[in-house]
Parts: sequence; structure tokens; C-alpha cells
Amino acid sequence: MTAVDASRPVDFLSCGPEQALHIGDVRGTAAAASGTMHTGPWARGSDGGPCPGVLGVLADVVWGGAAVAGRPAGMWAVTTELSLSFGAPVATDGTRLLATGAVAHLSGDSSFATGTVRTEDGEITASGAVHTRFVAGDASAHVLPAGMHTDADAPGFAEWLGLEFAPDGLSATIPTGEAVSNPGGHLHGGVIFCISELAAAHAVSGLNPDLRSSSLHTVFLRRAELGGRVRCETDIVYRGRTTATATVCCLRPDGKPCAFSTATFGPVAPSNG
Amino acid sequence: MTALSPRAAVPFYVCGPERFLHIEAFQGTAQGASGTMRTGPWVCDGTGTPSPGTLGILADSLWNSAAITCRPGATWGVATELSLSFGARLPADGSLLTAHAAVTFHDERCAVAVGSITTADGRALVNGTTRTRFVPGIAEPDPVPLPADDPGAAGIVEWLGLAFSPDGRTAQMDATVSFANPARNVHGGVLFCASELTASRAVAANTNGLTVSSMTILYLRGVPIGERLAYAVEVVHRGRTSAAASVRCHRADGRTAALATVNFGPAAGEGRP
Repeated sequence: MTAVDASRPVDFLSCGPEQALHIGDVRGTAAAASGTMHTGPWARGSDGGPCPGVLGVLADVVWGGAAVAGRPAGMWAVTTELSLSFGAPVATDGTRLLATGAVAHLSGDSSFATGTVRTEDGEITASGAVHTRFVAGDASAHVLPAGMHTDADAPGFAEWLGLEFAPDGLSATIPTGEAVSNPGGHLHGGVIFCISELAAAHAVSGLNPDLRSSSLHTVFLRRAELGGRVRCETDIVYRGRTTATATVCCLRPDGKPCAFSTATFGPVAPSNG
Repeated sequence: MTALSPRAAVPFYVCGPERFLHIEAFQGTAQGASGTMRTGPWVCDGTGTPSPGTLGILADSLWNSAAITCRPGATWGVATELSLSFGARLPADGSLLTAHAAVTFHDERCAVAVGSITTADGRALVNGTTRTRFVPGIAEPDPVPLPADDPGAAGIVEWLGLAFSPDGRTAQMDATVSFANPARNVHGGVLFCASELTASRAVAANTNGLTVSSMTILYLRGVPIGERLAYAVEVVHRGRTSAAASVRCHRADGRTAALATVNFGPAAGEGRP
């Protein structure tokens, strides 16, 4: 049995994705962590609409921060799974989102934390869980200067990422430079989550534009080194009138899968804007 | 978001799965509901190992009951997905488990509920989310006639009548009235549990030191009672300390009824209370 060390603060190592999405004020402990994201055009997806996938970056930072804070001394942690169920649409109007998370289970080699993301009005935009595994070592010094990767002119996160779709709509790629690094110097898990959501949403919207993402579950299989392009391959496994389901396999430049996601889609909610 | 009704008492329908697993009366409202389950040999698979998938039946039953209380008039609720993160090992020692649920989001089309299941001494077994879609038709189901008691079933695999292929990659079972939900389709928790058992068999979790770390199931089509169900597993990833498998549950007409992603990690410790 492992007790949560509620005295260790959450580490906030702000990298490019956090800066691009205006994520900050991350604080707390494994027992209660919080952080904010200011919404704006950077929260838009490839179609110009709100992109729920960006919440994966916020959740990875805040919920994952709680999970990491519970690690044993001398260890670091890697995210192994991230799962979000989406509620109210993500605003892009400058309002603030508040993420809160707490460790729900902790053992000697792993933990998971659960959390929510709420609007200023208290409405739930997402709820879910993050799993981490403890590994030897510590975060390397990949913290980037504030503002280094914030591009006020980027019309949306998809464009900031440099996301490109294949003509068939089922494949998407991004370059993996320093801008999308996590504190360990690998491709940020929140970015993998987000591009998986964007890839699946693009594929599904080509078949039914009235559907939006209702949930995404990503399991991280291998770390992805920076350099080259990662590719998301989408497989639409079910398409109905009011729902759709897709799986997304995210492949490293060497062709090995680094993440596998399951995405679900439901009708656009008419009254929760 | 529509205001929750304070009078929305959570319903408790005793069907075959609830009775077999000793799931007891639910109480509370959509804003905070609880229920219990007595552990025992009935939660174990054919090798005597407690099956975490059985918790899917408790979660599906309670959490969806909470979500269903938010339905508009003249509609019923059907679960569309269930996502669980697993913590401490499931006991089979006769102790009492407690489940909690609360609806976090709902509109006229769907509801999202989050919940947890804890051991008698307060350790987290499960945290997760369910999504329920409201469909026109029945507003209140007639009670399902309970089948004759089956005290002979030694465990969950035998009770389900789950027959595995020699290579462990497929399984079949007959959808009898014992597995019915209140709407007289196969209980979502039964599909969850059978998918977990099949995936665990396919990756040989017990002999490889792995345990289920999380699982998400998407319910794509209802399964009427009387069908023969076929499960097929694809092992998406198999590493030294983790594995991921995708399970499809096919109806007799060949259509996919459910799609599950099952993730495995190292068999963990007991977790914190």
C-alpha cells in the first residue's frame, strides 16, 4: 500500500504546447491539482471550429501533474493512457477553463488520476483519467523560454502543429520539432492525443458533418523521439446516423506505433454552447 | 445544461447480472448515487482469479441508472460507452464493495456520469465514465422475469457460458435471458465483462504478469436476447510491461455490437486507502 505524499507540489514544466494553448497557473499536489487555459482562436481545429482535442494537453498537464506528483522519490513518470469524455463544447471566446485533478490510485510503480475541466460557469467540458508509470530518472531541462512558441497569428492549434491531411482524409501528419516537445524531450502526450482527435474528427466529418467528438481514449505504446513526421492513420469502425466510432493509430517515423486511440462521435448538442 | 431534478431517484432494476453478482439496492439521486456489491467466487474466472470485468456490470448498472434519471419524458436511456480505470486488485473474499456515481453533464440527447468503486477499507478499485443516449420509445420498462437461480455456476466464466477457442483469440456465448437488461437486450456490463475475459485470455495476462489497467467499451448496436455472440480479439500491442487489445463483439447477423479497447500493465500493488 502506498500513501500519497500530499506535500510535494505539482511540477509545471511549460513547453511549447502549453504556451501555444495559454495553459498556466498549474499548482497543487497529488491530492488536488489545478490549472487554467485561456481560450481563444488557438483552441480551434482544422475546420475552424472548437477543437476538444486541445483539452488533452490541459488534462495531461494538470491531471498528469497530480499523478506525477505522487511518484516515489528519485523517480519520474510517463503517461501511459489518457481518456476524456467531452461535455460542453470548448469555447474560443477568451474565457478561462479550469482543470482540476487528483490521484485516485497509487501503487509503487504506477498511478492514475481523475479530473474535470470546467468553464467559468462551472459547466463540465471534459472529465476523464490519466494513467502514469513511474520510471527511473528525472525530467530533463527541456523547459523553454516563456513565449518562445506562442504564435499569436496562428489561427488554430491544427495550423500551429502544421497538421496536414492526405487526400483520402484518413491519414494526417505533423512535423515533430522542439515546439511539440514534452519536458522529457519527446513528443508531448497531449499533442498525440490532440492530433488523434483531429485526425479522427476530420475523417468522420467527411462522412457526416453533423457529428462531433464525444470521447477519446489514447493509450501510449512507445515514446516518440523528436524529428521527422508522425502519422495518424484513422479507421472508421462504425458509422451510424447519430454516432460514429473510429480508431487512430499514431505511427513514428520508423513506422512503429506510438499510440492507439479510440474516438467516439455524437450529434452536435444544440443547447450547450 | 438542464437542471437536474432533485426528485430524480435512481432506479434499481434487478436483472440476472445484478443478482448473480450480488449487487444490492441503489440509493440517491442523479447528483449522488450509491450501491453495493458483495464479492465472492462469482467474480472469479475459470482459474480462480478475480475478473476486473465484473466491475463493469456494477458500474454499468449504477452509473447508467444515475444517467437515466436525467432523461426527458417518454424516452429511455441506452449506454453508448463505458470507460473504467482500474486500481487495486479486486478481492473475492466476501467483502462489500461500494460504488458511487454522479451525473456531470446532460442535455436532451445524452448524459455523462462519472463514478468510482471502492473496497470495504476505502481503496480505489475503479474510476470511470459512462455515456448514455436517450432514445424514444419506452419511458419505463416492464420488469424482466428473472430466470431460475443458477447456484451451480462456479464463477463468471461458467455463468456466462463463455467458450474460448484453443488459440484464445475468439470466444462465443449464448445471450440468454439471464443476461438481459431492463430493456430486454444483453446487459452492457455483460458485454464489458465478456470482452475483458476474452482479451485477458488472448494476451495470457495471468501468466505474463499483466493485469487490466483500463478498458473502454463502445456499444454500437443492441443485442436481443437469444442471439449467439462471437468475440474476436486483435492484440494491438504487446510489450514486456504492457499490452493493448481490441475486442469486437459480433451479433449473429455479423454486425459489430460492441468494440472494446483493453489495456494491460504490470500487476500492481494494492494501492492506497
